[in-house]
Amino acid sequence: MKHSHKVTSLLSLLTMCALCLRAQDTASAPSTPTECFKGAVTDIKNALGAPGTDDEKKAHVSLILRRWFVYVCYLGPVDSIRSKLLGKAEDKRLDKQPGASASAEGSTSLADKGSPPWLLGFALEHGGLTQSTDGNTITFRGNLANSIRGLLESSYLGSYQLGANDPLVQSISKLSFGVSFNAVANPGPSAQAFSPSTSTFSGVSATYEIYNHRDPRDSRWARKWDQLAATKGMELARSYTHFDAAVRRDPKQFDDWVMSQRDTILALPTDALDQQLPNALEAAAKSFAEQFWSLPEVQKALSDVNAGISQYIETEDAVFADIKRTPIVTLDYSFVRQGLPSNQAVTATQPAQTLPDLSNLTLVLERGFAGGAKAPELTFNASGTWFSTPAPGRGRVRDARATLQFDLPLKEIQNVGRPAISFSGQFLALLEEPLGQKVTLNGVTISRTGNIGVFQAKLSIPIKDSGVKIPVAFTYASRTELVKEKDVRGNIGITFDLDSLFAKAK
Amino acid sequence: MKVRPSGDFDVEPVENITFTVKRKNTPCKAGFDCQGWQNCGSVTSPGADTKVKTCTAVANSEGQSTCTVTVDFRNDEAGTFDPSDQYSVMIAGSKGGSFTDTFTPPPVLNAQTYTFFVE
Repeated sequence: MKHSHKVTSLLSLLTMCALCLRAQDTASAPSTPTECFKGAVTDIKNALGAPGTDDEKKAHVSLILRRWFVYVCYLGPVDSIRSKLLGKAEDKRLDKQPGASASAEGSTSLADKGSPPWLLGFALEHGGLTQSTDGNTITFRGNLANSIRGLLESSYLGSYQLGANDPLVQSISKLSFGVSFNAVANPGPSAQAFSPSTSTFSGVSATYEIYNHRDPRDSRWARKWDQLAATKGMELARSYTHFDAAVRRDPKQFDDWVMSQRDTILALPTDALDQQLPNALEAAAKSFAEQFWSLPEVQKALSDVNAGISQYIETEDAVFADIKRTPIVTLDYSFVRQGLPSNQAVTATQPAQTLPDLSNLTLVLERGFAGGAKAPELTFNASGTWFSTPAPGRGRVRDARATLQFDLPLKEIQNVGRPAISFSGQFLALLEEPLGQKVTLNGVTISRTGNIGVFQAKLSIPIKDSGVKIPVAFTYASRTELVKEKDVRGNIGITFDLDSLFAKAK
Repeated sequence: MKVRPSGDFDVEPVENITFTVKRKNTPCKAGFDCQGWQNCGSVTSPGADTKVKTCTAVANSEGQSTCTVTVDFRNDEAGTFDPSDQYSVMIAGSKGGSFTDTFTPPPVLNAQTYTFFVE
C-alpha cells in the first residue's frame, strides 16, 4: 500500500473515532440524586462532632435541614438543575503538557503546550516524530515552588494562596523543569563508528510562563468575581429568600417538620452516621416533597430559584470563558541528547565520532476560544535548534521550526471522561546535517538538509478521575531527518497529571 | 444574639449583626440578600477569601428580618469543585453571642436564609 493511502486510511480512522465520540450524548450520564446530600452529611457530622450545647447542635442540624438547594438538587429535573448543582471533580484543561518537549526523541506531541503541570506530571511515550528513531521516553515535569506550596497547604486551591503576595515566590513559581530518560539505553553500536553511550538520560527542559492568567484564582479576576456576587449572586439570594418564605408560610407546619426531621437525625447512633445519615436526609427530602413541594407558592418560588440558578451559572460561565480565552505565552528551553536510529544502519564516515547534543528554544503562543468546556484551543510554536558544541565546518544552527496545533475537546464519555482530538502541522527547515556530520545510511553517504513537512492527528483519552491520559497519534512526514522517503508512524503514550488528583484530595 | 434550637435567632432592638463569610480557598463568591433590617452596610472584602456585611436590627420588638447568604464552590464551567473546600458563615451580635454555620460541597451552589426575631 502506498504511503498516501496509508495516511488517508489512518487519518480517516482517527477522524471517524473522534466524530463518533463528539456525536455521543454525554450529558446522558445521570447523576445519582443522593449525591446531593454529600455536603450536608459532612456538615452534620462536623456539627455533631464539634463542642457545643445540645441547643446549638439542634440549631446546626435544623439549619442544615433548611438548605433548600439540597432539595432542589434532589427533587429537581435530572438533566438540568441537578447536574448544575452537583458539579464535577475533574480537570479538563487542554493547555497542560506533562510529556516531553516536541523536539525530544519519543515525544508524541508535535507542538509544545503553554502550561506545564502546576505541581508534577509524568509521561511515558513511544514514538519519534521527525527523527528517524523510535524512542521510548519517560518524562517527569514539575514545578518546585508549587510542589513545596502544595506540601505546605493541604488543599490544591488553598496552596495557590501561599506566597500569593510575594513577588519572588510568584516569579519562581512560573519556572518549571522537566527531565527525560530513554526507557532503554542506546548503546550506539561500535560497528557504526560512534562512541557508545550507556546513559539513559535523554534531555532536560526548563519552561517559563511569560504570560499566563488562566487560573480562576488569579488576582486579576477578583473584580469579576465580586461583580458576580454583587449582581447575580444577590439576585439568586433574593429568589432563595422568597422560596424560604414560601416554605415557611404556615409556621406551625414548618416548625413541626423541622423538629421532626431534626430529632430523627439526632437520634441516630453516632457510630452509624456514615451509613444512616444519607438515608435520613433522603427521607427528609421525601417528607419535604410531600408537605411543601406541590404548594402553589412554593412552585412559583421554585421556578424563580431555578431561573436564578441558571442565570447565575450562565453569567459565571461567561467569566470562566473570558479566563479561558486569555492567551498564554511561554518560553521553553530543552537540552536533548540525540539518539541513533534503531532500525537503520547509520555509520559515521570518520572513526570515534560522537553525536552532538542539541539545544532548543521554543516560543509557545496559545489561545482559547469561546464555548466553555467544549471550546477548542489554538497553539503556535516557533523554535530553533542548535548544536550545543561547535565543530569545524559545521554551522551552529541545526534547524528552525514553525508548528500550529488545533485542539478540540470531544463529548464526554460516561465513566471515561472527555477525550480530545488535535490536529497539527509543522514546517521544519533542516539547515545542517541532523547528526552534525556526514554519515552513511545503509552504505550510502547521505546529505540531508532541506525542508520537512509533518502532519499529526492525535487522540487523547482520559481515564476518569485518575489524572491519567493516553495519547494515541498518527504522524505523516514528507521525509524524516535521515531518510528521504515519506514516513508514517504511530505514537502512543501515557501521561499522568498530579494536579488532577491533588485538586480532588481532601 | 442567641440561636434557637430551630435555627432562628433572637436579637435585641437595634443590635448590630455582622455576617462574616470566609471561604477556605479563594475567591470568596458569597452573595447576600438582607430584608427587614433597620439598615444594612455594603459588602466589604477584607481579603480575597472573606466577605463581611453588617445589618442593624429594627427598634420595635417582635420585628422580623432575614439575611440570605449564597455560596459558590464552582471552579470552572464543568462545575469542578474541591471536596475539601468550605465556606463558614459566622454570625455575631454586637451585644454578645455568635454562631458559625459551615457549607461543604456538593451541591456546588448552596444557600441559607437566617431569620432574626427582635425580642
